[in-house]
Amino acid sequence: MAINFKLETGIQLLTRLLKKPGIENFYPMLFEKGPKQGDIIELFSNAGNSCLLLDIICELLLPVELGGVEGSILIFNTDGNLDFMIIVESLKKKLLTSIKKGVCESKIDYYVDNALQVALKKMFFVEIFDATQFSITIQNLESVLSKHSSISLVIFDTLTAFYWSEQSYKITKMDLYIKNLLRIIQKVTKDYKVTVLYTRPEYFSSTKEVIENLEPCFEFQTLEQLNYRIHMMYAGDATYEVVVRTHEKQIKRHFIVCDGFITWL
Amino acid sequence: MQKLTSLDHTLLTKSVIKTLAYNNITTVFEFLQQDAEKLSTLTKLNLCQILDIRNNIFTKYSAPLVDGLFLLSKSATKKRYIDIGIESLNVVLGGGIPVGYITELCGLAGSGKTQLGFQLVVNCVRETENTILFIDTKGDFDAVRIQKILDNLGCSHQEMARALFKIKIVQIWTMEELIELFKKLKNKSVNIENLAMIIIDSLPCLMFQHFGDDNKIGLTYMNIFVNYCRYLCKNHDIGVLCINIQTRWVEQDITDYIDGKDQTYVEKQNRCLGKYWQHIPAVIILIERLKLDKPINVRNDGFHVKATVVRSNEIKLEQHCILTVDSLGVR
Repeated sequence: MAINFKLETGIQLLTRLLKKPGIENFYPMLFEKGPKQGDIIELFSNAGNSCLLLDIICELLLPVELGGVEGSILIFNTDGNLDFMIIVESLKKKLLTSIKKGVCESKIDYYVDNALQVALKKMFFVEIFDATQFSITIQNLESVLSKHSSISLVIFDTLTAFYWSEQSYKITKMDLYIKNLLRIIQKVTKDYKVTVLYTRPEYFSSTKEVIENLEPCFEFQTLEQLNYRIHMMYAGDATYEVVVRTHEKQIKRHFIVCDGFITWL
Repeated sequence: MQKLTSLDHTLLTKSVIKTLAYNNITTVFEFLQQDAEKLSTLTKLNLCQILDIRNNIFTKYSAPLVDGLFLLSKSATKKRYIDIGIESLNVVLGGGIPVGYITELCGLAGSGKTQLGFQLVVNCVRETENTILFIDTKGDFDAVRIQKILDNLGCSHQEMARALFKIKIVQIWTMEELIELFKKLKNKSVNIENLAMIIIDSLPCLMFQHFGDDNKIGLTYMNIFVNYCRYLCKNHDIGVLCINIQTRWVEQDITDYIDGKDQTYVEKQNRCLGKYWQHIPAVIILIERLKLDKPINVRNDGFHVKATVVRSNEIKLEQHCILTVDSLGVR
């Protein structure tokens, strides 16, 4: 008789059981009191969504005393357009603005550099260049999350970058492709209490349905299902509109980008 | 997806691979997805050996994890832009053609894209150690035009020869050939010293061959090409510039237009290559020919163009500059 068991090392067990800092109450403009550990968030747009993604990354890395979460983050850079140096510049600007308020001018640079180094130590990056590397790196997530147990948010920018290179004469439907990937990601991350955020281009959908008619979001973590769906669009006059859908409601927010910063209206 | 081979581990002998294939396990991914115990039963290898093969696959195929501090130290010494020698365009580009990214230069037929491409080639190789790989898919690369531009810049014959030596030209006629070339550049079986930029003039010429194929094989090729481009950009510190044509069309039925009725129609201009390509370039330079009543300081064959720079991650923040194009180059 086959015995079903899962082999894990003491370190893996410890990582699983350890209480890690959650990211509840993080970025309330989008998530209000969430997101919870294990939640799946989808961000999609027909314009570039990098500015919003960049802001989310910076807010997560900022120290608690400066209004951030001081979380640790893992970024899968698959489409290659997320510019690491822009993340650093934005983070530096945010730190500078926050630190300026309570520190004498001569020590600002020292504090900013220190805080930047601490934040960058908590940011992990994987550059992915092909479909095989993508799949194997996802499979290897368990070992990465064991080693770096502080990681609380995993970002895939974008989840769909290798779709076409994986298609042969029989084409997998786009929505099914995303679901298959989500199932694998949820399987390898479920024990590690991380929130997953992924981006996809707006055109990447098997149906021509409007967003309202797509599958609803779920309250609890469910296989292949979302907890937040965020739609970002350009609303004219340098203003972006963001619609966040959860299981119970949808909220609309607006922001402008000024001097590289997002300002919520 | 990468197939399982005996190169992945010494324990993966031909007979083990055959047994796995018989059980529909042919790729490294399918191997990793299977339960270790089941694999052990199928292959008659013990659990430790299966785990060792798994670890080998992870080490060989998964992407390395780096932290932000390491990336910062690495990025600090890297060049971020390739100076293209046209001051106004350099400014709107933020310093030049970005290293590590794909840039698209597009415009309608006759808007001066190719001439601008030639000028960039000349400016990048002149007075530098840079080498440029120019991929010609239209078969119309004209060394005489390059020579004219160099001549206009006051280069001696010796300087011209030195500059032309640093421009490597290859003619490519299919997407398969293009992918093969990029594969060779990736695994260094083709090695170009001091390669700073790859220019492809143009991608639609290759992609239009796959128009209307229902199985979308053209998109598969394009995705593979983009993956190779990204690898070369990031790991060889180069920029890739694709010179692509724009198309224009009107929504109204053309027969209505011929009828001579009072029609109002809107002409639309499209970047080619479809929805997948729209998000691929990090920077897009749109070239638009200007129709001015009195062009300023322009030769008989010259005209002004507006070059608008759009960054794909900041779609609505556009910057532009005005350039002058003639047979002697672009200023």
